Amino acid sequence: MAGWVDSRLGLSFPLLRPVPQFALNPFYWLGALAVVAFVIQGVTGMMMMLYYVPSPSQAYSSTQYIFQSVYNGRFLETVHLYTAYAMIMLAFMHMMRGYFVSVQKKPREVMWVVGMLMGFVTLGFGFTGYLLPWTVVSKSATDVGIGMVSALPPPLSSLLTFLIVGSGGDAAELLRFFDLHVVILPAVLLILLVVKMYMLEAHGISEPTGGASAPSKRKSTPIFPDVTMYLLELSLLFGAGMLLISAVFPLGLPPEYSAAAAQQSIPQPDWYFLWIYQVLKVSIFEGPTGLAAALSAITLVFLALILLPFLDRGKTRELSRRPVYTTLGLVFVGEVLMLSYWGFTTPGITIPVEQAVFVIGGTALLIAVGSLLVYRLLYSRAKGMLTTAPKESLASTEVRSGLAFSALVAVGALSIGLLVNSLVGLWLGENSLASWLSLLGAGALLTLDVLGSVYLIYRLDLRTGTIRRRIRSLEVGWKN
Amino acid sequence: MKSGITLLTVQVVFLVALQLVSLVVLWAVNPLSQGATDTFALYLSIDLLAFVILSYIYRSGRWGRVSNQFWVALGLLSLTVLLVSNLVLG
Repeated sequence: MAGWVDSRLGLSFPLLRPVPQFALNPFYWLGALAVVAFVIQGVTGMMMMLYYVPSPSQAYSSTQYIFQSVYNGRFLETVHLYTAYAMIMLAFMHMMRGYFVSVQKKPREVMWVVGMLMGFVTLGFGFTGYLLPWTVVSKSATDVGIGMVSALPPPLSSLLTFLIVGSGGDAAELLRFFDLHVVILPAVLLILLVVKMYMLEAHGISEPTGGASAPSKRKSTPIFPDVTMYLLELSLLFGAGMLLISAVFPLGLPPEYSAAAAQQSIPQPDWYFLWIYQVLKVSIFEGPTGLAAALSAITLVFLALILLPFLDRGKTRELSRRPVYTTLGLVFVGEVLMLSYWGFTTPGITIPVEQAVFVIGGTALLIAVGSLLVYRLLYSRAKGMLTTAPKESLASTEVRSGLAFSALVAVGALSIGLLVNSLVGLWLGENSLASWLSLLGAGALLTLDVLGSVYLIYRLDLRTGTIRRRIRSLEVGWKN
Repeated sequence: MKSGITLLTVQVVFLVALQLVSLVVLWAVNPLSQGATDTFALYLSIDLLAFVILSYIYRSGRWGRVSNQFWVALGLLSLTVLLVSNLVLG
């Protein structure tokens, strides 16, 4: 049957390169899954567009109509929202994976820049889509966001304000957001996607960081039907996951926006902007000058990410030879996670500057010191030793250890943030039982996280054959 | 004499039957309330997951490998959990 379809549609025509075996690994397809999420967004969004009215007087009621009266409307709304969240999460994971395995190195510098632009467009989808239901939460948070845009330097602020607000007023604002969300941003994303796909076909998929992989792993797999089916399986698995999340965490519609209701609520952005929100809540960044300084600092972080291929000029891609950039990446992930969690738990509360310095600085310091120590330990251990395990058997280990490491980094960053925050709270005189419990809990979590990391590194070292001395106490319950 | 029925055949027949059942339920349910929406989402995820396992079995065969029974078993277990939770919630 696959042959029949191929002969009629010409799917195996060499438009796309065959994929090497080493790339049949979910971590290579995070970007593709983000595109799948975008397609789901497109389909569900178009269906909702049939009923949605982008005017302040009818936006909320039409959303409510979709929820309550449209056949499958509630389902569409829920899947649209959760897939949007997944798209942002997948784009972030795709970027960080690319960062850690150095995909941005020659000749893929421009691909990285295009990918970063796609990431910003994805965030733009989140920002513009959040306002559309016209709920009190979404409108208040968007107004805060627009206020931030106005605080940017003059040419940029006036251009962005014109683009997203227009001549002013709620009606113009909502219409602009709607147009951006359903026409302009999808068009820009599609153009960038075509450019990136073209470059991907020109340069091919980047090899694993370990250098030349085993010959069997270099063997090509045709795009149709093999890779197509593999991608279909991943996509459907992702779709099934989204459906399950939609069923387990059903979506409710918050109250409609009104000036009076807005007075009662604390504006808080969606989770993907929480880390920026938390930075802006630090007391030193209050006022126009402070806000401009904070936004400039955040813009610098984004600029550094965009220009990464031109900053990290080293030729090597191996993690063991890039301690500084790996540590910087870990600090970035840790800070984003910690600030997001902190922002989520302290809505509307201004953070004293000394607390912010201790928590943000302390988190960065602890992650950096921990990372460099582990690095030194691993690198010195790996130096001069030969890998004895066959590389073919490492693919599934890579997936499992990648997932485990991601989880350990996330838990580690959160527990470090919580630990430092509790310590600062106690130092500032919050001598309550809750503070002590929080301190103990964070300490216990961090200890478990460190032990888990040591255990995982030990297992990986043993597997790759880069171990100097076996530690039997870490092998309790092992068969051999 | 061999019967010709293998574990693989049983799995494939079971998965196809499950997909048919989930499709019938998807058409029958009227998802306007929250409960019905959840049922719809869960049966659709059963449908997708069953297709993933079928595709995996087919792809493994194409590559001249035996499909990893751990993943197939995990998939079937997930399907069972989904079905049971659907019946309990329903």
